[in-house]
Amino acid sequence: MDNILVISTFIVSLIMISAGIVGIVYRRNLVAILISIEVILNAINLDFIMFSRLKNEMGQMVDGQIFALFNILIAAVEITVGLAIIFAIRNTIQTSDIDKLNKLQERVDE
Amino acid sequence: MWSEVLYLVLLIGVLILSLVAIFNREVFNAAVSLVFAFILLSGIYLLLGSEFLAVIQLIIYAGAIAILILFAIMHTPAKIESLGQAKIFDYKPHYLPAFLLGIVVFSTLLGIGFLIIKEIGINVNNFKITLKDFANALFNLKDIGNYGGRFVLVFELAGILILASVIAAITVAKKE
Amino acid sequence: MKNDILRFVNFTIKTIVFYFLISFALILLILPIYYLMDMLGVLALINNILGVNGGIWKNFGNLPMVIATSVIGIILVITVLMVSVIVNVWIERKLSAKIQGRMGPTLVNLPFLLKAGSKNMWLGGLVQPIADVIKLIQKEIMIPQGSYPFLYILSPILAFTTVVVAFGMFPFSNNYILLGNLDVGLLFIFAVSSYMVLSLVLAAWASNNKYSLLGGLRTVAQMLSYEIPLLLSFLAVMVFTGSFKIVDIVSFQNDHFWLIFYSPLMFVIFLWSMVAENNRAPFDLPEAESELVAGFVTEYSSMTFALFYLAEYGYLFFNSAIIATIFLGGYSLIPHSILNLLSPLLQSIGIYGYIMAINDNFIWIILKAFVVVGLIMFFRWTYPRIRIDHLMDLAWKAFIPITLISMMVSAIDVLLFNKIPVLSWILFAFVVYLASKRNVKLSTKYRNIPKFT
Repeated sequence: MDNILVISTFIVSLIMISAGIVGIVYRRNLVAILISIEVILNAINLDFIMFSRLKNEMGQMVDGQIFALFNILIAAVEITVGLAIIFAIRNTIQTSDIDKLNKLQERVDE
Repeated sequence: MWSEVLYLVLLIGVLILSLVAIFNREVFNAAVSLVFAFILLSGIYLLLGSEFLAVIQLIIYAGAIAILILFAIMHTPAKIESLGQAKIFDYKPHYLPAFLLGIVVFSTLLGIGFLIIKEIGINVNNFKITLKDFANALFNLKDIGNYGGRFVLVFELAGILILASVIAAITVAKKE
Repeated sequence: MKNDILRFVNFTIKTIVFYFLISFALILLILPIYYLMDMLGVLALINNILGVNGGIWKNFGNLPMVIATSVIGIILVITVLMVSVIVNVWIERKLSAKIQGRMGPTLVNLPFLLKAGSKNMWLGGLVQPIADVIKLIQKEIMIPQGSYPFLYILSPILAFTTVVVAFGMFPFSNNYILLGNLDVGLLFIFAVSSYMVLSLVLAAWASNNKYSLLGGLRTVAQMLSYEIPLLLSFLAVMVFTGSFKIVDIVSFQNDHFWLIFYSPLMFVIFLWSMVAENNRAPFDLPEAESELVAGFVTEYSSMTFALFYLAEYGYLFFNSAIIATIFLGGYSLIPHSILNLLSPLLQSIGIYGYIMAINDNFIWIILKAFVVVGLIMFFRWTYPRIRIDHLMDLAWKAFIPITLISMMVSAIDVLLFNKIPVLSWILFAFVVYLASKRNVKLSTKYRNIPKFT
């Protein structure tokens, strides 16, 4: 039973990570990209907490859990700055579509 | 037995909800399913035996981050992404590289992960982890030899990081 | 002038007496339910299955046991929730009527006790909330055009569920905490109660109504801002007890003294943040009747509205119980340290045994919770609504810096002064002085109102 649980958790978290990476490239909405990043961070957290159960020493297990704690903190920081950037973009060009963010692009032909 | 079944159900729920969160066209629905994925994940943490992280997950992720995302969606122009003319799959040039990248990442991590699992073996421990252990590892400088206070410096740096991010957010989002 | 003062004193004394009589009436109402459950052995069963040390998490291997405990627990929780909500609504209507010089509900009486229209105001209209619920059940659930039906129905259910789950951690007594004496007990409570904002936001968005959306935006801004001082002030107090467990916090207060005397400033900030979290006046901007029609509940009717209503009042009662647990000694009436000091005197009179027998009882937490509820209701009916930029200023420029400083100050108290709150009281005096200076400036200053509206 333990094998099934561990391996299924691992595979689920891998699917979440790769789907998050696909989402970052695939989605055109800034908020949706932030959501994809959140999913990736959560999948990594799940891995940290599950694999800390496989350690055979108390201190090492606490290490894994504290990494998860700092990961949550990083996610909070990331969402703060990310949402601030989204608000700034909203204020300047009134959109949340990243295809419209091409003011610095060189116009080759038009 | 039943807790294992519950665990698997929660795991499948998390998987489905996070996939919906990533690929749903309407951003608000995506964010709502993200919230519920967070809640189910905290249930998983509880079953894995770390009450503290489950509660922190509830407070920070589902209570603050997800609500902030909903707030941002309410403030951004409401437009459904690419109102295609009832096309189920409207191909765009960036789709193929995206999925290829996903497949590459998935297979690479799968290989590495299984190698590591094979090496360490699957022996689940039964340690009861309490708040005291967290406090010991984070703050207890008197017990440095015995896994105490290893993360003091990281903790302080994290505080500085949060301060910097708050200042950055205020400066960036402020209207002139 | 003298006449005014006399009238004020008269009014205050009358309301306080009125209020305490209502609290005791409520206790008399809950007491039979509790003792009936005790007689039937239900409480012993819950105690055995869930227990102080066990908690629901330990018995997960045994499915019938889990189902049985869940059913019993849900019945207990919903009973307490419903009774408290009914009595709260009634108290609020009577108290507001008394403050505004009206009578309040009088017609719907207990039929076998009093005739309709009787002038006895103590029991007048006691059945009014039940009549309200029956009226609401009869009505139709409207789903407005252009709304999101799934989220529209989901959000009131989510709000009610939040309160039910939170009541699972209701700190009755050291034996009767339903979800067990969790290691992170109070953090769990705050985590669960932060879901209220989620349901309100979903309701606001799903209604597809401008007023609802504005109410929802205000809700998010307000509740996210006030969650920070709430948690920080709680942490500043927890420096003294050194534990998040409910039982540990109450036993600390038994051994020393109530925590309100350790950090009075944090009590004030915690209380006001709780009021703001609960969206009650003077912080009721999300549902301000004169600006937004009814805020996020504009489109709701029938039982969907009733669920929000129940959630609001249940949450009010639960929050008051939490304040009573953290600051006012929880489920014990008099701290044991004081009782030990007084024991020779009490023994000479011969009532020491009686007092010890009833000192740790769930009655006291309910009484204290109702005292706090009464305080919050007084706020609602005597203060005008605060302006939105003042609301944000209060959270970010006053509460958060003060709580951050206070955390440091209480840490110094613990380290240097051996848990005697010297610096906390100095800080309290200083902040009161500053507030008395600042108050004048803030009310005369006018700035551009930011676009939270």
